[in-house]
Amino acid sequence: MKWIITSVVAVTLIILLLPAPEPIERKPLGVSYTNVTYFDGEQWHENAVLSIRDGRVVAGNDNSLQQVDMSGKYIIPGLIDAHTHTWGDALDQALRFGVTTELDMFTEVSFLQQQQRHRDSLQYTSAADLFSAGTLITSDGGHGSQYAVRIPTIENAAQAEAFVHARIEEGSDFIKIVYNRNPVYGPYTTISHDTMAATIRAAHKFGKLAVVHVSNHDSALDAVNAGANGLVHTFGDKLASDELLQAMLDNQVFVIPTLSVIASMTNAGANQSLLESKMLAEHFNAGSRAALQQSINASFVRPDYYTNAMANTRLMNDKGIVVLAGTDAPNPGTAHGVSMHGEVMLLVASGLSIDDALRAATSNAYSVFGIGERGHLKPGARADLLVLDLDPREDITHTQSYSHVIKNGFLVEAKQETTGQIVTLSDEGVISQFEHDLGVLNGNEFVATSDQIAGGTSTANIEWQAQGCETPGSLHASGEIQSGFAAPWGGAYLALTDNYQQGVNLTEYSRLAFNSFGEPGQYAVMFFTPESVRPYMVAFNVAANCARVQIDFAQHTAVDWANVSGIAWVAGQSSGEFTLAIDDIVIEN
Amino acid sequence: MDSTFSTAHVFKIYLTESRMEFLKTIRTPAFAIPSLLFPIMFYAFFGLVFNRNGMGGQAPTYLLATYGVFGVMGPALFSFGVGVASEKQQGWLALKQVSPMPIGAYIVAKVMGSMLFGLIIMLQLFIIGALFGDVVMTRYQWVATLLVTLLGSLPFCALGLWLGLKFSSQAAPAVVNLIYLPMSFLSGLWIPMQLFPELMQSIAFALPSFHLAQLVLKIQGNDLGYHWLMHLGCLALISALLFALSAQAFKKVSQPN
Repeated sequence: MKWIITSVVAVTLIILLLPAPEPIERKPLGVSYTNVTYFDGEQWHENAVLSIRDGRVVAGNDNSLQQVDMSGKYIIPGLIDAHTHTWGDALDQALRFGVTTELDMFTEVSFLQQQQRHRDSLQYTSAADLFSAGTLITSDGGHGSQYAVRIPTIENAAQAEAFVHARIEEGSDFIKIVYNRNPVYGPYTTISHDTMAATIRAAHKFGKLAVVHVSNHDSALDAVNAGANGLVHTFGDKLASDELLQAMLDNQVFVIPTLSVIASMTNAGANQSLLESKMLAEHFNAGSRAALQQSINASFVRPDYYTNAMANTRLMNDKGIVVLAGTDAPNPGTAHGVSMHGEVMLLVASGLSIDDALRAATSNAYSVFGIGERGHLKPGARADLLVLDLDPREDITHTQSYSHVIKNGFLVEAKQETTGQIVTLSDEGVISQFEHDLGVLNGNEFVATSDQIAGGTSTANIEWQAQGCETPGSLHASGEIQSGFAAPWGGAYLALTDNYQQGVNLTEYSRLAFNSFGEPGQYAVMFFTPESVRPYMVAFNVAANCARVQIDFAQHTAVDWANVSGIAWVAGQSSGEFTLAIDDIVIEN
Repeated sequence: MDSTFSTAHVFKIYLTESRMEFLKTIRTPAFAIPSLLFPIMFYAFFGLVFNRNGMGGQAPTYLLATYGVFGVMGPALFSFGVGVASEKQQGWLALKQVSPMPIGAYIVAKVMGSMLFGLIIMLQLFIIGALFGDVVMTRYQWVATLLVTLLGSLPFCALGLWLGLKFSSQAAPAVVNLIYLPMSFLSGLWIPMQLFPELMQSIAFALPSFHLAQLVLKIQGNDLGYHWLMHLGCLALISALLFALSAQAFKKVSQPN
């Protein structure tokens, strides 16, 4: 018996010695907010009571709940972004900006399935809920088939029913179709009118909504006449005709104008006020900040496309057509979460009243999509809400004044934590002079990098070579750039930390300097930050002889210099073989 | 004949038998050393040396669960699969049957023996994971990981028992290895499931090790997101089936030929 007792004591001791985190106790709010002014998704209530228990809104004032006086505060439902594409930590991102639900219009099926299993829970979560079309329906070579994710495509109307059924089997919550009346759709092909109509009928047969991506008036008219439930973009090629408006109203077709992405396509500069917003500042991370500074700037779009799109949004709203706020994040110029605050501003700018814009961002999604009790704050609703310091009825930008995000009745941490380690570089910031090998004095190590990690076919190889600039020895990168991938690259990557999700704080430093020589041409330095999907690129020229290159950090504000995880020196401007030597790399004060 | 024993007496038989089983196994280096070392070695290589920062830094924690499952499967499969096969061949099993000892003690001792091995393996994994992989889990998660993996060895005891009764002592080691290693791989115990093509992912659903791994991963929130009852149900079903098969095989072995 003694050995049993000894063993039990030993095991217990070992377990007690294992590292455990500081406990975080999370309890759902059980609270009655009194004297609160709140928007229930449809209308405002003054000096009212809003009670939350077990993750849901409950009727009336419950005296057993904690009473909190909310005089001077404003509550609105959590925002619903009705047009996104979602992966990675997008849903966490969204929630930090008060977007508690996203309606996704095309993502990887595995991501949708994973999210579907979580979204019914009322447990604590740091992420928004997701409803998704899963795989969109498009032709081979059509819009949506150009990405790294391989998707099945449809050829003709006869396949529609089986095709739609397969999507529903995969878990699609609704069906999204890409259609254009003209068979030549920019660089893309398109499904035929018959296929589009058959797909809509199939979706309805299986009890699902069919929503259609269109980008011009005539395609919109075709989709509406074929029975589409909604249009997931507005259009700007011309003003909406009475015929279309009447058909939309009669058939109860809703529209998700996605003015944010249209503004980005036409370089309308709609993001400046978000970037400068003091209210949003503490929620931003570098990734969303950088994304808002980009734009699609599509050269094929007519100059008046944006103004027409704005006008069409107003025309449709005035006609009584249901408008939903959606951003099309994360296209360049948009970002999950933050762009919803921009979208409601654009909706108001287009001519919607503030209350209509708030409905577009909350209860309109509830009334047209089957998304459970989300998008309103009537009894029984999921307790997804924002507590605002300022009255949004005065100014729609006051949606940005949220002090608390509540999801499933839990307070959510909405402030962005900075993750950059404070490091002091040793050896006066010298990374390496490559005197004997590829070893580094600061940072982790050099590795070869190419677009293969993102599905491209370029190759890259790095090695030490005896030839150098100031001293013998340099890093020699070579390989072949293959065109065909959207932004091909190949070269050398310096990991600054041993974990790509963690960066170093370079704000104390002012520039990166290095020598380079090799196959003459244009090359680029890429700066990687854990928060952004795309690295930031700075071009530089290389000659056959050594030349010094300096990149001043202050000139590149889109990079979060407080959190840089890696730096790469790459070829990729033109396809073909490249050789590039890098030497005497220093991060200078 | 059981009626002649008091409960305390029976308990003592179970205890002694379990102790002897454990001593026997630990004194068989050909069994003890690989069982104790392989999971630790694999974990150290794939979880700590090569993959230290994989999966956004989660790799050491994730692989702690999967190599834990891999670790407890070994003793269960081998002490039953190979042990029973050879004891059957040597006539030891027959001797046990005719002795006044309840035959349950023979099975329970083997279960206890392999769980003790599992316990040692898990504690080793915990210690190196915590020391070299910076694995941090709540107390509840550590304890639950330990208990679920240990209890989770039962289906593999059942599988081992069936194989041991079914195959000769020459064939058993090969058969057990042929099942153990591919099953571990296909269940994502070595490489996370998410990296597998879809077809391979669907194969995993038929494997008890997949369901156990998912249960253990659920404790740390790194599972694929299915409901725990589904995994538990599958494990129970597979165990029941294997115990039934074993009972049948046992009857056959016990019949004088």
